[in-house]
Amino acid sequence: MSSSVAFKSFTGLRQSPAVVGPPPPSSTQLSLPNSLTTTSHRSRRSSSLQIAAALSSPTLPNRKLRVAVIGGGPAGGSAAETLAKGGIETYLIERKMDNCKPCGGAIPLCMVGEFDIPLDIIDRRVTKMKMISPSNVAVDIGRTLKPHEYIGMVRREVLDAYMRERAEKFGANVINGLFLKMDLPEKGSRNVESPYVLHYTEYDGTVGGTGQKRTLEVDAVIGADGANSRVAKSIGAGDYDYAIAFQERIKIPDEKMVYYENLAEMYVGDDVSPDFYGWVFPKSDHVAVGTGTVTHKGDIKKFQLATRNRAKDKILGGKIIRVEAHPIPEHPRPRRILDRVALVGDAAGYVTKCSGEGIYFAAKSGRMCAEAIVEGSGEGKRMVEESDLRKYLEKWDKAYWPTYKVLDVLQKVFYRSNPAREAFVEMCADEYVQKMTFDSYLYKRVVPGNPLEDLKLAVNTIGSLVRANALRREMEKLTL
Amino acid sequence: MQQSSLFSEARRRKWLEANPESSSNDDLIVFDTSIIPWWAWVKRYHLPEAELLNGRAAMIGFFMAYFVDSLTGVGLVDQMGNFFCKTLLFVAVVGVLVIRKNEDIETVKKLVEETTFYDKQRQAAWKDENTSSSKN
Repeated sequence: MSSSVAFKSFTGLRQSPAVVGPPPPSSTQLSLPNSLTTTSHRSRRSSSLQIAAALSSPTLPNRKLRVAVIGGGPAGGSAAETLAKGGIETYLIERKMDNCKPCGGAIPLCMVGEFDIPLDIIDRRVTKMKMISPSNVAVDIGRTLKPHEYIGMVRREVLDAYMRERAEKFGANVINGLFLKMDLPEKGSRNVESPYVLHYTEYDGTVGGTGQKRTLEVDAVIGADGANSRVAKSIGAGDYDYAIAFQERIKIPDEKMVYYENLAEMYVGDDVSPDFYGWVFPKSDHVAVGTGTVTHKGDIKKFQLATRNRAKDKILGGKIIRVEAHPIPEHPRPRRILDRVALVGDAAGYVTKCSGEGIYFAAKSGRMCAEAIVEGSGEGKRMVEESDLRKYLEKWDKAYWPTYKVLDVLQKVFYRSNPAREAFVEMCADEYVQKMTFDSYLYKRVVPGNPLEDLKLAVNTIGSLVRANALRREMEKLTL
Repeated sequence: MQQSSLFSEARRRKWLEANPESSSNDDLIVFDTSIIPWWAWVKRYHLPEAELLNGRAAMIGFFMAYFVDSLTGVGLVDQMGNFFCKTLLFVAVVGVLVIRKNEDIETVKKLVEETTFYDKQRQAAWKDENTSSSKN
């Protein structure tokens, strides 16, 4: 697993406090149970020792472990594939097989390798980016990219369908249905006879059909159903702050499309968004112009108009072919696991701040959770427990918490006000910054930077911020 | 001469803030604030502010020294020898630097809360585990 500290350039960033996890799997007083009913309480002892590993879980009587994955996006697809490969009876429930999720659609280079994404799914390879400050200072980013490096732009409907089909090929049962609610097993029960009962409406493929109500009994559930997750609601996972991302797909004339051949733009400014950025991303044969905000959701249309205004010269003559919006979680939900239900992807809130990247983390978390289940159940032969799912949380937090934290700090420092955004764009012109940024984004790891360069960077950052704020004070003195 | 580039950039930014314009490729703006020489910044911003803050610190220092002397009879030289007084001096200097308007007190409190908010959210998932295991 590659290390994933995104930036080492900000000195003094403290690491996360050591997270408390389950102790090593040496269960002391427990013996392998013979009867199934005695297993229900032995793992939750009243002592301070935590739950022992599932090596002492009951073996399933002549059937495999059943796991349902709710939601068939990148998280659900990769989870279902890993589960099916691990020999577990998998059910993938997706409500809309041709769903066109509103999304930026950017995937880092490492995802193509790690998830074996075929290259024909990638519509465009973005190798240049332009960052545009509130006062239209434009900076080109991407000079440090090597010829084989790029940011992949995909259409969500294509990517999701591919990952679902791959899961089906490995043996997952893909069900076209809408998950309604879930009956939880009795509290504290480890009994294999007490499963989760899922209620869903199955669609049989006819357009406009209302579907039939069905139930499904499973032993564990992975909630991958996105930002408005119903699985999260059923386990009382709690709420999170979320941003609204609003996007318009615009078909622009061909000669203007040439400019966006492999270039994406980011606009920052108070007019475009008070706490996020506006973007123009190239898609298959059109561009997506959008913006987002957490704090001023009511003004989103105004921000969208401002974004279009800022890009006006370059998208003039374009026709809007689609308008879409979607919530983006800002931080993980308070509770991501309850008994044998785990949340992954957007449902858990795994979207980074500052850049709003979610596809890779969704797929990776789906895979990690599924791997934890496969391992904890010994490839489907034993019942899993909460402690096995907790291993996934622990692994995830250890691997990616620094990344999230650094991006959180960046957002707080640089998206705070117009002077800060000006300083941000100024910093992005620096080659060292560009190299570090792309290394950490494309590969989700950092090559240890030169400490002298890091120091220079820190000094330059502070200098830029101070100068931008001083200019602001000059601006305030002026009256136009 | 180079100070004028400072003013002209400020004017340009002020104008654009009020009337955001489209960014165009033919008319690319490439401006780095570091082209403005350091002494322009110092003359315009650092010196007046330094004057203000030094003045405040001096006034606070003088009257606190007088006040403590009148209450305890300890002169200025003896005050400086005491650890408690040195701590108060440090607090006064930092306070003058950090708190410049009444609103700054709230800002500092919010900043402290902000820096730890994200960690608290992440740790919430682990807090849950401890409470549930101790329940049974």
